[in-house]
Amino acid sequence: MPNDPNMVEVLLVEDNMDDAELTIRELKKHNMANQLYHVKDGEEALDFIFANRSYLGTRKIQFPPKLILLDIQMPKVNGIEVLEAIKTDPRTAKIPVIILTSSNENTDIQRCYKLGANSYIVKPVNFINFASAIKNLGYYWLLLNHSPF
Amino acid sequence: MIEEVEDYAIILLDRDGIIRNWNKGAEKIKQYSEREIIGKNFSIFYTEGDRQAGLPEKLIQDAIKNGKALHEGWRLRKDGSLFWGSIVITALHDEGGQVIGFTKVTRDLSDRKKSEELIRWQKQEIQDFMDSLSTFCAKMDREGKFLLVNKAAIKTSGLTREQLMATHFVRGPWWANHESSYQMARNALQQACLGFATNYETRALFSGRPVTANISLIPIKNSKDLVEYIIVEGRDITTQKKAMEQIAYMARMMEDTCEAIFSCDTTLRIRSWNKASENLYGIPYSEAIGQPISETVGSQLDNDSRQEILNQLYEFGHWKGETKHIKKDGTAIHLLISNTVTRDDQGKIDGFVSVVRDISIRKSLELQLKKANEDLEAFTYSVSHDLRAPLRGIIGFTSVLEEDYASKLDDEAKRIAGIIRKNTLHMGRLIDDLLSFSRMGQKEIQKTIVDNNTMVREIIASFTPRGKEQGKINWEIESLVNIKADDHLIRQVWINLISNAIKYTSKNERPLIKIGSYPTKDQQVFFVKDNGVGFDDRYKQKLFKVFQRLHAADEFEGTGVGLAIVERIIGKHGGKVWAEGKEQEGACFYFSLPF
Repeated sequence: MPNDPNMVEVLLVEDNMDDAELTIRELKKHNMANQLYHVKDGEEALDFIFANRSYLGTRKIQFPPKLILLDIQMPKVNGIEVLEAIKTDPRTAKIPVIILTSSNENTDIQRCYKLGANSYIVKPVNFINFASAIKNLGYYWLLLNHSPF
Repeated sequence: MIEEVEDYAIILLDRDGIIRNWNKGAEKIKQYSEREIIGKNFSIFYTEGDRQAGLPEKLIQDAIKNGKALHEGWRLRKDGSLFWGSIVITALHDEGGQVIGFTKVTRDLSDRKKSEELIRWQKQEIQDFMDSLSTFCAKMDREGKFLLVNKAAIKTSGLTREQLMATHFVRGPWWANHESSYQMARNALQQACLGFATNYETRALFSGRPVTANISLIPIKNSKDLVEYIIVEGRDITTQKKAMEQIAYMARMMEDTCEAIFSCDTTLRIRSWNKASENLYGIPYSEAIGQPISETVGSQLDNDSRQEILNQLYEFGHWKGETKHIKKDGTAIHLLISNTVTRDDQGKIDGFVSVVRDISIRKSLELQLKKANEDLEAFTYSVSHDLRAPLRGIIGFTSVLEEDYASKLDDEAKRIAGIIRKNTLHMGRLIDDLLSFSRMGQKEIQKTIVDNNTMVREIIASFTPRGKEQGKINWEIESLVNIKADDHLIRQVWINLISNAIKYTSKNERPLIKIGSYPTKDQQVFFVKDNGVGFDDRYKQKLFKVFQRLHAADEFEGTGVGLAIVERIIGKHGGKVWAEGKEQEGACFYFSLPF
């Protein structure tokens, strides 16, 4: 966990602690979780991104994360609402958002891309596939891809 | 004195009929002067026809024989004009009884004759008039005895004129022995005698045919206000009666049907409104008739839509659709409405008839179904997300255990960890299959032309990677016809059937899979036949049921959903699925699709 919330590279938005642990473990294994910050629901994600409430004063909106890994099914504010808020605000619209979800519903996929999601990945049940999916997306988005920031 | 009588022509004839004496009356009637006529034969007064017929001679002979001869007939005046003369020729005898001559008295009855002719002519006119009527028509006295009958009455009765004239109205053969008909005739006659006209319907026999007759009795009174005679008219109304009954029946049908039927004229004012309409809208006939239709039924259409429907009606003659009306009590009803134009005798549109059916219940069921489907969708969504997540955790952490603690786990522990992973994965597959089965039910089919040949070859290629098993299975693929179906769903059917065939022939030394198709009367049948392990024919009904398997899980892997999906897809296309098989001898799966 980074000490400075303004130095976060990866923001993981995931309410399922087991999924979060497995994701973080995989990224760590490949040395990509040094600047990872985990929030447990959509509400906290919005507070973090827009530097509101508990992040007021400690975070600056001018220092966005390089990548957001976003679950869809979450209590209070769900991932689609978070995505919409990010992509409709010009200050945050450029942040790459990867949807990482259990849902393979076509309607969800269509909606997310329409709202401006940068990728849509269905979490495989099989751990071998899951691990390789996390590893690949980490490599691609953190190392290979050129960040707008 | 005789010479001076002017009203009678009195002539004296000799034995031979020669005129010997002539009086003033004779001169006045016959126009001859005494000088002109004395010495002429009296046959001069007779018409050419009568003379040739020997009438004058005959009259003389009669007078000789009987002493007297009487005759009436047309006679000639000097100027050639005719008059109606009544004559008496009387023989004159001498003392010895010998005829010596005759007196002939002639009276001019032309005026009397004229009025008689008139009466006779009037009578004939009445008879002709009555005969011209096609209905039974007769004049009878107060007793019911006929005085005058027309030709139609004779024909209708089946009697001769004389027989009919001798028949009594109440006892005529036309009542066909119906006691009630006799009774009605009797009553009608009584009423007529009392001065009341009557008109009634009765069963009768006209010209030997059983008919429904309309009988009218009209009493005719004299100057003293007494009934002098009675006119009776009988009319066969069988055809009209049947037509009326048919019309009445159709009206009853309209009234009794449970479908609301109403109509309006071209100004859209209500012309008819049946009982079902009263019930449906809660508006009685009296309040509906003549009223503007749109307001009465509570139409929710705007003017443009209404005009559009009217245009359609004028152009095509009918319009069908679903619509919403508001009942009198304010409740909304969903209706299936069918409008048709009505036309007058000339074929000109004179209005519209509507048949409406209340489909509110169906609509509400549809809504419920939609809601249920939405609930199911939400449920499956939740299942797909929430059931998979824990599985990922189980497998994930079992794998973490295997990876991170490999050195601390002995072989048995590693085997057990493998079993946990395998079972969890199987559960994941079950969930996925169940979800796709459930989604299949909600999917709407979108038909295009499906190229079965290409599709089947693609699928086979995807199952048999190059080099590996390609050589093992012997494929026999007939040319398959194209069909109109949902491309994506039919692909799923082929995938499931072909993958099954591969799976169940995998333990066979020389697997053979045959794919083909043939047409029946109204369907195209496709089949996938293999020489694999087959199945027990007794359980073939279970094959297509979800989660039903005929093989143990350790023998052949599977979730028991594949064929259920096949059945669901084919069912949605209006086709059928079935299978034939024998244990250890192979199986054949068929599906049919309508042309």
